Amino acid sequence: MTVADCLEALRSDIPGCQVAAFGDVAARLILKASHDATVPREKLDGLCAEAARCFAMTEGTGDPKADTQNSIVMTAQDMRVYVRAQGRADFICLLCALDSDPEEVVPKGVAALSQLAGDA
Amino acid sequence: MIAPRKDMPTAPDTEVTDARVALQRLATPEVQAYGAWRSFGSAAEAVRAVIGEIGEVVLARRIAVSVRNSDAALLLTISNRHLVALEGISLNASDTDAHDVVAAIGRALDCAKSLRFDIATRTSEMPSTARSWSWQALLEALEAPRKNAVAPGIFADVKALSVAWLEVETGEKTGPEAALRALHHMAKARGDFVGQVDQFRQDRSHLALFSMTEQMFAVEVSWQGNLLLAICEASTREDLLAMWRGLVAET
Repeated sequence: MTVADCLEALRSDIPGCQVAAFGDVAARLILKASHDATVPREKLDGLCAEAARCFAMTEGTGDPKADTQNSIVMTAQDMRVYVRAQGRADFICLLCALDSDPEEVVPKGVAALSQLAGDA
Repeated sequence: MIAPRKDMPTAPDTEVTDARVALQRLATPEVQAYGAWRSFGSAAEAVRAVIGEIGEVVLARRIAVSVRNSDAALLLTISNRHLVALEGISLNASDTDAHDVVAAIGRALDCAKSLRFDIATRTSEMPSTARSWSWQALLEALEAPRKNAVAPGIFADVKALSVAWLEVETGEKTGPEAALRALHHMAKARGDFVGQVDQFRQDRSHLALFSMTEQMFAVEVSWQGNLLLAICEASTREDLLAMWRGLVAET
């Protein structure tokens, strides 16, 4: 399964998910994303910047033994979920509906990240 | 005549997403031609069309926007999907944010239901303004009008649920020393990051939950430029999410 396939499958698995993306906070870049044609590049850049900010803020404050770190950002319009493996720069980003359940979304993001990390 | 090749394979959809999106955009009929009057159901739709035009222009252009049966006219200087200057409206560029620009365009196009867009000049000369407004920021301002500037009760609610909290602007804080140290670390990292990255706008209201340990997580509440950082027990997560959704629904 390619990265694109994995992100497509992840997005279709989460109801109301607008964007499923794989990025790198060190490079500040979304490397691959699944979304419809209405999502502009600026939106992806903004999500990447937000992910980098979230991970920068929690650097060194969490449990170093935890396998993954996640951040959930609720805005007035949507919910963003960022997941990365401990100490890694690559991350999964999910842009979901405001009423999405993080308990369902985060594990799916973690599973996709594991799959992509395993493929890498 | 060249006969079509029947044996040429096509790539699966999942492999050519970007190309397919680009081709779809290219194949879309140009219904928004310059020099033609375009009708809108309401003034709000007209404002949205002006913002949409900013998102369509990459190379530097000056776009004239005329209002049918009116002397009102706007001259937009756009480059790289950013509004660089706006003539026809009095704006102080140095302290005007995207909400102000959208509101000003709304006032200028009040009652306008028919607009014409013309390319006034195709010049690369840009005015030496202090700042510009991205299409994305303008669109967000259009879709999420500025809320009441009064800090909401969510600050008090988050404080009540937390084991430690820090109000970054005032320096007020409560909680165990170790937790406060972590919050100060987060505040510093946030400040350093915002200083480096222009794309992140501090004034965007949000609630962020950061995983820390199985028992605890960190919270960031940003509202109208006010910032609260806190550490809460894992059991309060659902309450915080419900609180935020309730606040959004109310406002």
